[in-house]
Amino acid sequence: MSENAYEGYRGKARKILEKFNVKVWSVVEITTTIGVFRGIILPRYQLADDKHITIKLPTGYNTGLNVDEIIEIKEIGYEPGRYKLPSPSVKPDENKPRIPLLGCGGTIASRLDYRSGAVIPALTPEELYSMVPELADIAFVYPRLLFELFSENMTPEHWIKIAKEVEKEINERGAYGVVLGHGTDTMSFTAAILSFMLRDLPVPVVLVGSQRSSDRPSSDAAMNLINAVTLASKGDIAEVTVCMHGTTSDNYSLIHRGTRVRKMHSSRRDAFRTIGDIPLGKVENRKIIMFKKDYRKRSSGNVVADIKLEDHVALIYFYPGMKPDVIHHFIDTGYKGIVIAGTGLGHVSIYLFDAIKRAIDENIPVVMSTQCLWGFVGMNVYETGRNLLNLGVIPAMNMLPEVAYVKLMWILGHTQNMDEIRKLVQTNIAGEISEGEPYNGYVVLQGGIPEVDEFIKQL
Amino acid sequence: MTQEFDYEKLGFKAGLEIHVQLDTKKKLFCRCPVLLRTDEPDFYVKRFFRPVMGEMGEFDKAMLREFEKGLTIIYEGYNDTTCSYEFDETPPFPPNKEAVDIAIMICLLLNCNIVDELHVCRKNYLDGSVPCGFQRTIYMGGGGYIPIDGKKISILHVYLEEEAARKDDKKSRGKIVYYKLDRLGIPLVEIVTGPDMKTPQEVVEAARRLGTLLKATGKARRGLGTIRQDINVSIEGGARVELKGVQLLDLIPKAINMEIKRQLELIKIKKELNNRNIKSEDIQENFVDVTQIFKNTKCKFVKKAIERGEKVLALNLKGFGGLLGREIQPNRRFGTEFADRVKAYTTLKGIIHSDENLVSYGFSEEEIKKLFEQVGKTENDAAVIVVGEEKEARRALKLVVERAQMALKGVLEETRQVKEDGTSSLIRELHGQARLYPDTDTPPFTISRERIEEIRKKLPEYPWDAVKRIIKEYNLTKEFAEMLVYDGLHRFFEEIVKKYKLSPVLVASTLLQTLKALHRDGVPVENLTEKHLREMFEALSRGMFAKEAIPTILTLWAKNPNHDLNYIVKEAGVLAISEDELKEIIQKIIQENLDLVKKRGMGAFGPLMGMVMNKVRGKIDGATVSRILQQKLKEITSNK
Repeated sequence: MSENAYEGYRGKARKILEKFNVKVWSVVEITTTIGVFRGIILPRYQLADDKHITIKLPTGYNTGLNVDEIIEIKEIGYEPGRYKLPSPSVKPDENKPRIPLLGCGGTIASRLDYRSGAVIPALTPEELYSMVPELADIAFVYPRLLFELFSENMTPEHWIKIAKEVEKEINERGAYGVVLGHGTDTMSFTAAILSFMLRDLPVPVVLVGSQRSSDRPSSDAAMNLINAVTLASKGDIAEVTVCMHGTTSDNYSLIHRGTRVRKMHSSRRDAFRTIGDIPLGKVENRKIIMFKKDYRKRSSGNVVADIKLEDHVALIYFYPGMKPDVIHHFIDTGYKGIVIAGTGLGHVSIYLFDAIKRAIDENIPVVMSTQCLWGFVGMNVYETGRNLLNLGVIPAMNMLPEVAYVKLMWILGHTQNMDEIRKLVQTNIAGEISEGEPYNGYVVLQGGIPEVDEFIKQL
Repeated sequence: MTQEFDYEKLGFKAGLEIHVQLDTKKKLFCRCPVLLRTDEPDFYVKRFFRPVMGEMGEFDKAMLREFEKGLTIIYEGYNDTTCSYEFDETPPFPPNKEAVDIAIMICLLLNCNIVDELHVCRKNYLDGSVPCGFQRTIYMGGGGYIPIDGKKISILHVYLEEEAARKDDKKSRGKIVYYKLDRLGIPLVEIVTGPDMKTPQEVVEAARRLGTLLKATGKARRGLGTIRQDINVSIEGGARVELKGVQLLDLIPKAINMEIKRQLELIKIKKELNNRNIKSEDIQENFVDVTQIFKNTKCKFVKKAIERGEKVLALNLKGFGGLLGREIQPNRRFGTEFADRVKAYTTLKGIIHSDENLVSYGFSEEEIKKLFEQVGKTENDAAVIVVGEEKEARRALKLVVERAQMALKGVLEETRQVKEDGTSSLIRELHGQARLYPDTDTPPFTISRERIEEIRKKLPEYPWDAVKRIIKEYNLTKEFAEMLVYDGLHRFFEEIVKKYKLSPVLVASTLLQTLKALHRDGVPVENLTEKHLREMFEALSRGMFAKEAIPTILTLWAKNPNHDLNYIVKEAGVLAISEDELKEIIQKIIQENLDLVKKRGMGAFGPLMGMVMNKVRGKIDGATVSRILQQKLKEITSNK
């Protein structure tokens, strides 16, 4: 019998299933000291205890029966999980703009196993058009699964794969825009690195995800997807952007530049915020309204995926009491670059100076960003900053720490020359550094308050 | 009325589903206070809901229907009493322990077994009543019973779940539905009985007993809508129908009899259709656009609709002639069943059919003739027309076809809303179990047998036992004892009587009659907590004021619940006076009315008593006033 027959069951619980010769998906009648229960044996959570059997009752409810109270289990049937593809009611129109939807994980398109509660990725065209038939009105969307993983498990290798696939879609398959379905946790990292990798981008590349997975009736996935596809097919912005809910309501999505965006809430729909500027625009009722003018416009021609990067770069969040051995550790283990999220204008304690000096002496660039997120580092203002500059620390201007991190990886993939590195870090390549911060850059994005919503509506 | 049918012969069976809100401080899955509000909300959130695809690649039919309505949902919340869980922006917090304990207590009172490991499940709702799109609900146990007149009514299941948001009917209009988030998440226990009741009277008795039991625990919330009962009714050859909204016990027999009548009529109609040899394939979606016929009609609402660009669509129901007009409940015809369906699932107001008096709608003979011609209606058929935007009108006629198909099968499994006259209208088809699945946000949790035994030790006595004991121990009338117990007030009553050595009748009448009377007079007695009342009884027992002052004090305190009792008593001017002070007052009043006293002697007692009481009411008890006044009068008259 396969391992899966006892999915999640171990110890006592597994023994009792074996004893009565029943398995997961068996339809059973269980006699216990507190009564007789009918139901289907369900898989158990991996981390659940070994003292209970999970069954689905005829009412549809799940419950856990104590193994010690079980007297007898009788198998009266077997109903394993079955999955079928839906038959969508709409057909995509091949004459509409071709928009690949590349699945990189996340729950933007998923369905539900009602019995176990498991969320199943659903990125076949059939599933996509059944769940969000509106897409057929907007574009010829063709979904393709690149990989399926939690976004915290993304690695630079995955970024490279995405960049190459986007290049292929645009250069070889005539994509008019590209949508990437992505888990939200590390979406901003992927958006930032793609902003550097995809050179001469001629069409929009839009990252989208969902904060409420699409197996929930209240999911934000459908609206996010519709707006992202709208942006990819009708937008004239040939940049890497993130397009997600603008407020907690199902009103509009905001368009965020890939190098200025950050997930600012663990669970809200409107978690994504442009930091240090106002968003590029919004998508509402299938219309795109741009707030800003200075963006890269659509063009013809090919994209170049410049995928070289150095994956031994560290991002260190400074805190009071940090010991220098943290930095020594990265030097000792062969890291090629260090980005620090320092306090305020870009500071760390004096106790780290020697370690930082050692790094720079060993040709490891040390880049300083601010953990305040909003605002520029200003390392000439206080003595600490001046001392750090003197050690050779490179200020990251108003680059977000995570953006500085992926940018340094990308730079180190191209050069090891400290002077060139210094110059490139401080040169705006993909909107990651702005020339100044507008008044409303800070005000607007506190988000969700009525005045702010009103303000965005007027933009 | 109650013996309208031979229930045994009909194979009548009924069961109850009782929902009771628990009186906890906080909600079930978040830590927000339980507080229903009437002030304007601080914020609104707009949402749309979509059906969820199941493992078989299909959507639940009931969910699809809800989705097709195309509703926009607006939630109303308050900055200080609504948290982001309540508008689906934060995962749930662990279930409220207080609520779980009360649910366990209710299970034990109902003799139910409690499962060892509780699993939170999700039950899908697409009408917006729960912002997640699903209600979180927990199976607690079952296999219990309550005894009623020597018979055992089985308790099949007990669930603990979160209450839904409450619809704001004042703001909702058309496809925009407003919900207040304040009711969402109040812990709710649902009790499902077996279909063990064989007469409407048994249903009433069971509902009464369960309601009493729940109220007497003192853990049920009080007020309108805090205990709701749904009745599941079926007869042989009919179907299980869930009747909702039967709040008053008196309405139960009426609602049940009306439902039996409806099912019997539907069975008759089914037989009639079989006699007429109507088959499923005779009922087709052959919709005819008849807008042209009615372009210049005198029927105002149809004309206006056409001017707005709406369509008039018609359909011929072969063999249904005369049936749509047949009455199945008072003032409700078989045609109403079709209209109900259209109303429940579309935004149209209903249908028009040929068993109605079409002329009275304002249609001309000519228009009617043309209509019948175009749809091909013969004498045995029925024509149905709907008016609305084309897409919506088509959906409506599809629903009509669907309903006609089902008429061949007889009675449908439905959830119905009962009205005050006992008749009912369709809410939706009965939900299937497909809408339930595990809540992956909350891990299962174990209820230790020790925890259950702890709760069992403190189990309140059954209300029917408590009534008997209270009558005996406190020498109260049966009426008082029952009211105390059924309102869950008996524990408080006993505490006060024992602790402050007050007269049981005084305490009971204050709790049962005085407060009710004040409430009737518009005093906000809901502001008075047990703490207020306890303090007042304590002060009364110390002689701070006389018992006559109780209504005055409670009135003032209800209006100023944040003030302390000293202030209230002072403000009310009922601070007790001594006998010496009373004597002075009496002396003064006698002096002022010396003529009267001289003229009438002891006969002046009545008028003088009134005058004195006006000055001292509540400050000293009437018996003392009477005694001293009599004494004084005697002294004066005998001195004469």
